[in-house]
Amino acid sequence: MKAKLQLSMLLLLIITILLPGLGFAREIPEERLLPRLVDDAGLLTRDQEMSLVEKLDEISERQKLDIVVATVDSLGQSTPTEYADDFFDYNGYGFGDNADGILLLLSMEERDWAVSTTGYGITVFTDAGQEYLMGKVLEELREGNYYKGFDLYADLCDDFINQAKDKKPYDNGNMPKEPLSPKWIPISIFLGAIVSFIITGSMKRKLKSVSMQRAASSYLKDDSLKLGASRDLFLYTVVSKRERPKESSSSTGSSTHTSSSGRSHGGSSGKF
Amino acid sequence: MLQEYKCPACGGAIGFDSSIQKMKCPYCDTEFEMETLKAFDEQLKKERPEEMNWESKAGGQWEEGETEGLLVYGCKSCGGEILADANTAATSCPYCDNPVVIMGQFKGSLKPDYVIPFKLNKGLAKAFFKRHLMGKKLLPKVFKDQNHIEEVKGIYVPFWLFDTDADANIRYRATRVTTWSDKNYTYTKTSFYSVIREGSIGFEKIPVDGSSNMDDDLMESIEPFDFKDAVDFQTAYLAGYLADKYDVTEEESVERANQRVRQSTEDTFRFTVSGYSTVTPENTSIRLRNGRAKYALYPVWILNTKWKGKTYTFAMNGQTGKFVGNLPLDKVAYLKYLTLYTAISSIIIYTIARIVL
Repeated sequence: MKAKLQLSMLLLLIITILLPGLGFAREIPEERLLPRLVDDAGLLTRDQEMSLVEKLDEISERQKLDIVVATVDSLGQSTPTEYADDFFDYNGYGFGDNADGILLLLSMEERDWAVSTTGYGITVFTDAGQEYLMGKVLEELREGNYYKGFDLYADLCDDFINQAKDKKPYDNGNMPKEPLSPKWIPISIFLGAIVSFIITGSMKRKLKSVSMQRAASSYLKDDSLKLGASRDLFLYTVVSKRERPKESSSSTGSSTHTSSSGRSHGGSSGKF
Repeated sequence: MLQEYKCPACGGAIGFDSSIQKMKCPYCDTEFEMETLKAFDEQLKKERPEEMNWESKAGGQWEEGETEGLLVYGCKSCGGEILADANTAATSCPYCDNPVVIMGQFKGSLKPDYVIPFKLNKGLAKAFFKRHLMGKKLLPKVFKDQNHIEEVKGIYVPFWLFDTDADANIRYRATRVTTWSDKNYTYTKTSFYSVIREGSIGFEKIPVDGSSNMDDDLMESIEPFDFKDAVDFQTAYLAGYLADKYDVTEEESVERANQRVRQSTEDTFRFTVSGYSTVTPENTSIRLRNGRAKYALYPVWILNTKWKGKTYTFAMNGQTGKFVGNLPLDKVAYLKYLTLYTAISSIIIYTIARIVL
């Protein structure tokens, strides 16, 4: 009887472990089971790992939105998006009833990345916003600067959440401001000098009031203008055409899909 | 020959008062209509032969060439000597300040047809000078503070007045541009036109400075004069003011009037061509006809001041009060403002770039 119970416990454990791969429906746990950084691919040193966890925890607690980073060696049978969604759901990530959160997944086997957003995270990280965010982060990841990339990811997430809470989420037509390139300093000074020359030029002109008259319009006899023959002859026409710039479709908002748990997620994925 | 106008009431020397537009005796305050003076003037002319040969060239005492253009007269009131330039027709005696008109100066040259009497007095000229210096940030402060006018002269400046009609025949090349677009292309249609304008236009009383003493640009800058105030010339108007006679002839002056007529004709006809995107004159033919010239004296206040060894001349239209005259530039202040505005606008442009980009 005891042995039977032990066997059934073992079976349950095996099923629990295998289920995600098999696609069986699983329970979403109440509590978060794993830390906010899971480095199964071993991309970070211990020190980096510790400081990054500290940072992710601090921002997540403060913003009440889980910011998660996970690295794995292989995705198994799943697509990057499925894997990221399930990893988020079945490990109990997410704040509050809506499980507010965002997860960045790296899989080293095929160099896949995926972002999965849930709850309020879907609102904060719009499609266009994710594109911008991952554009920045992938620059570092492609170079192999994983720690720098994840650190930047954490900072940008913080910024995105602040923006969404204070005003409007970053989206098409409302993207984060790039810091102005330093070449604008000489350009500004040059344009400023031109404006200044125009202003001081008009001040200088006030000192000069002596000049010859251009014409004699003050001495025109009233009503003396008599127009004789006036003809407007049409000669010819030239038509030129220029291709119009194609308008880029700029959709806004976040697109969502439903994961194996039945929960709605936003997200994006790609290779790095 | 020197002419003073004596007050028929008290015998004092009288001058033209611009504020009441009459002759007024400064001693007994009696006022006289110009018409009265005209009669008086004619009377005086009849009485004239009593004293001839007032002109006396002080030969020998002057260096050769210095006497040229310089004349000496004896003042009728105090006997003092009045020195005047050959073209001076009216002035004041430096000793007793009585206004005099030098009649002899009008001999041998044309009598002016018209005169616009002074409307604005010396006090206003000084006040307008002060106003002229205001609101000019690049004017050296010292120049404004010292502000000493060395002399203020009311001068009747000789002008040639030209009337003319202009016949114009102008051909323009004009274009009309329309644009429209469909899904893939933006189309620009440029239609070319040949526009022809023919017609005539009249000008009257275009003034051209007839005195070489006066800078032409200074005299054109205080234009326009309004001919409505002009009256038939009487020497009595000159009393109390300086007056020049012309030393640039009508023939020499006509070219300048023609230049201005041509420009004005081109401008006026250009305005009749409308509804086009671009208009360029291709062929312009302007013929002037019915040209007539009159000789007139116009009132001008001339103010002089010296600053840092340079003379600055200002002119005010004695009829309209238009005040002109170039002023010196404060180079230090200019550089200061240039730097300040460069800094401010650079910061503004950089900030805008940061917001927009």
